[in-house]
Amino acid sequence: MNNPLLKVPEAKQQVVMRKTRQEYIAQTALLKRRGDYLPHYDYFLDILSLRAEPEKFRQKINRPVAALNCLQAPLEIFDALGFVPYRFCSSTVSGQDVAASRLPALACPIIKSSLSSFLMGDSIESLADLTVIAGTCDWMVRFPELLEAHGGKIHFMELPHIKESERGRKRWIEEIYLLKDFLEKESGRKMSRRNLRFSLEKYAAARLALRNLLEARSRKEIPALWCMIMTNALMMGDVEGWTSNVNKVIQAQSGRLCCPEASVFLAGSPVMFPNLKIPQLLEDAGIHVAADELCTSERILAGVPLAEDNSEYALLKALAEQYHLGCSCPTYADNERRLDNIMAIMRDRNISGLVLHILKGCHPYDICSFKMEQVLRENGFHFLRIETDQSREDSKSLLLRLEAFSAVIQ
Amino acid sequence: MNITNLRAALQLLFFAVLTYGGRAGLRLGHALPCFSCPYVSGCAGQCYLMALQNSFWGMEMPLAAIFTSRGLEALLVLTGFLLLTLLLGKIWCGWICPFGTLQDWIAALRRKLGIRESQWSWMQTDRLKPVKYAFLALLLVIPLFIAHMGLHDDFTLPFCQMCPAKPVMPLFAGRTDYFSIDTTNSITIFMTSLSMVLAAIFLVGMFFKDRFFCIFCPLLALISIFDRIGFVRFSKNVKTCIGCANCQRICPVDIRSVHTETSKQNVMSPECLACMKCAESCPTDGTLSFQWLRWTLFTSSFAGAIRKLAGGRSR
Amino acid sequence: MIKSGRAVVFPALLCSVPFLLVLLILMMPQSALVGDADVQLPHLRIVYGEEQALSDGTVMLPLEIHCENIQRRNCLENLSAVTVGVASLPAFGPSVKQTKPLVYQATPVIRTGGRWMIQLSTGSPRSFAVRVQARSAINGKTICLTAETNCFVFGRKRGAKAESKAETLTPAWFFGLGMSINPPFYYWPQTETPLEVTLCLGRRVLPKTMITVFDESFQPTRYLTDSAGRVVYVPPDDPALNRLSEKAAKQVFLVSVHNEGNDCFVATRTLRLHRNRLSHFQSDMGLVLFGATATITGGTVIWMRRKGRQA
Repeated sequence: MNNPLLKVPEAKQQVVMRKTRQEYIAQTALLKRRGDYLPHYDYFLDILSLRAEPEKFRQKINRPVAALNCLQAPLEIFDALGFVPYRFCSSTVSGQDVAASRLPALACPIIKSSLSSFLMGDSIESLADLTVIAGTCDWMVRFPELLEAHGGKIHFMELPHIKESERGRKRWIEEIYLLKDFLEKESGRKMSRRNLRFSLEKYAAARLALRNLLEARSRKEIPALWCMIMTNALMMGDVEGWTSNVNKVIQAQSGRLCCPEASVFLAGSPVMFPNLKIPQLLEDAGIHVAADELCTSERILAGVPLAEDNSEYALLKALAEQYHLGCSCPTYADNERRLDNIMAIMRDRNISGLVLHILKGCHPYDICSFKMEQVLRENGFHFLRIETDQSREDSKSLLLRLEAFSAVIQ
Repeated sequence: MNITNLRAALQLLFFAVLTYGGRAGLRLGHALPCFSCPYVSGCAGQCYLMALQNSFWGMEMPLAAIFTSRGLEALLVLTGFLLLTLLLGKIWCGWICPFGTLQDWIAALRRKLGIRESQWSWMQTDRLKPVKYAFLALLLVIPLFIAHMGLHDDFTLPFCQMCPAKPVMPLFAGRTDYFSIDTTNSITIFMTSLSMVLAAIFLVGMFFKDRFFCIFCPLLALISIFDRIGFVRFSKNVKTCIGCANCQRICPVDIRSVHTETSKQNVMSPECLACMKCAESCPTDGTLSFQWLRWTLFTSSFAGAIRKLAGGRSR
Repeated sequence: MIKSGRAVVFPALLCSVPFLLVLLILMMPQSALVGDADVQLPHLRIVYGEEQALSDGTVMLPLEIHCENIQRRNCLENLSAVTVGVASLPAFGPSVKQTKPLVYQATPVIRTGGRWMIQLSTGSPRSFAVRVQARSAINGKTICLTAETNCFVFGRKRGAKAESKAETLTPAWFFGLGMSINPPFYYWPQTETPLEVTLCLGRRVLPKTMITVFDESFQPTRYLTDSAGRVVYVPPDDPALNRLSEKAAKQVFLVSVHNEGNDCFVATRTLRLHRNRLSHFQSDMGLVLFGATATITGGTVIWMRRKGRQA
């Protein structure tokens, strides 16, 4: 923190950090008081709430940690080089005013929260050994510049926004190789094919568990809120622990129907712990999220990165293409399949309505919303667009709208 | 047994049957839509390309013979080929063809050694597509020139003379004769030298690139003419495809159209070998499926793809 | 070209003066040494005609029977007891391996305008053994004439299997010299392939007997049978034949004369020789070319990969 302009006064930092920790503690306590709470969820809550207590997290993980913003940076590569991934994107409201002075007024709330966590002395910087940022939306493209004075080890991945073209794919493979080189340099070891293959297999088990979890959710055996907590934890910490605990939850909940009648598809901006405003409001309105396309939930580990060869190139290419092409992030220019996929899932899971959640300032989803509404309505689906931020001020009005929507889709 | 193992087992079985079956008295005729090489002594049946080129059943037949019983016999062999092609289509290529199986074995060796497959640009792949049609045209035209234009008889069976299967496949029957230059005359020197050069290029190519020969195979070009009316269908549910490109990456002949298709259901391209690797690798349930008429032969599933990724350990 | 037996002219002269005379006469027809009787000594010879592929897939091979003396005078009218026997076997498959004695069937001779022909017609690929026998007499001496050949006719008529039935000739039909080829042909005779010719009279082999081979331009080469009555003849490579199609063939005649008592036996065998299919295969050259191309191709791929280009 060398730049005095970026320096947050120590006293202010302490206040923000205390408030942030309180946010995590309050949310965790709230969740533990729920009637559908299971001790199995503790694993995920611990992982997520330790975000506010970096030292404890490090003690718990006891391995080098790589902070990252996006699932475009393949998790298997981190794992193969001994790093534990940790998604640095934040949704806390406490620190947003700290970052607000350095960002435009209508900046994305996630960017505000995330930046504030970097500005705190003992937050991300002390939690992660390095940071990897994929240039997804315009905000994330500017993020390395915002962190310029941060002085930490930051690797920026230039994301081609025309993903299906040959040149876009080649560019992305080059980026994946650069990421590998960066991680090899930082870890001081070479990535072996064997390790990468081993990581692929570890994540294959996680993919299967995620799939089973999402299916259990669509069968209404697992509440959408808890599902979101579990999926949130996937990009944080030890993947094998995550897999085994998800499997335990699925087993424990098997055959128990515990969700509201009305089902929707949740699309749009990411939802992340501890700010679970949207899933909580949906639940309050009697709506079950039976499927979603959030990059913090169902879109993580979309598909299966398969390669016919065992060569390093083939495995890295498989990872690059799987994470890149298999992703329906609206920041891509060529993303025609997204709407078809959403509607196919809705038909498959018997969902009649879609709720599009847009965080104010999250422009990619906002821009897509008009076409999405038109296409969905043309195909006979109900559509509700919610534009909000991470504060609780508009909760009542949102709840009213959601309750009305619930009545419509039922 | 997953489809990879099933295919490997059937390929081995068909390789053994077609290469050695003749020794046990098996005679499957001259109309097989696969590279069951007639130069393998003791083979069970013969690749139709030889019949198509030759002087009795094929293009080298004199005009006067076409409307006689000879012509009828040529027509019967052609009918046999058509029936077999309609019945199994590209399955001949991906599952039965002994030369295709050999290519898969060579590629498996490369994979075992951890050597990466050669990567071609999309333009390179597209530019090579017409070569198989050029080979097909040559094998149709040269016999006509022999029969009607006085071209020397030593050009007879032009494709067989160039085909890499001719020197390579008889090795499995213990014959090394065709790894030679035939110095009988200048034409035989030229043709056998060409055969050696092509065999070397294709064998090296097969090592570095999956199904390298199939990219140029005139029999594939011939079979693909009947894709539309064949019983084997390859379809895609474009609505559920997430566009992950597993199908393209896994495809041994780098077919892009299965991935890029966003409107049509039929995705059987002329280059497709029906190996079903794409459907096996597709992570979305029912997006890619192979059918025999209305019966589903294989359909993609997340479970199948994840099993493949986990090497069969995750069930 | 002799691989067994010895080409020793002098003992042959002692043992078989008449044969030598015949051979000398054949070589030098106008020689003053030629006596009247020898000049008149005829021989039967089978000459191949042009094979005709009929539109139905049947292939017909005409064989012309020549009977000439050394002056090439037609002696057909002097022949008596002319019989033609044809044995036929499938050309492919296990039965082609001739393990049983051949069964000859009588075949009619077509006589048109002073020419004697037989026609081998088949709708399937067959191997034929043809034997023509006849008698003649010169100056009160009986001459037993035989001519033999083996040939392949690749008929391809749909459904053609059995050939027409004809009168089967009993073993008693055989007379005169026999000039058999061992091993029996499994494919058409080729240049550079050793042929073991056995000369026998009835069941008795004839050692130290001259066999003369006349090439396509009637140039003779003489061989003497060994104690087992055998000669190994290797038709030499023929560059002119090599330049032609694989189906092209040349005709070579083997002649032998044997006197026994008052009988004279004259035997010929016609070989229709094709170019050798495998003897020109140079595996060293092939492997060098293959290896060099493979090395260059593999090297290029590796070089392009190291250069970072796509390959």
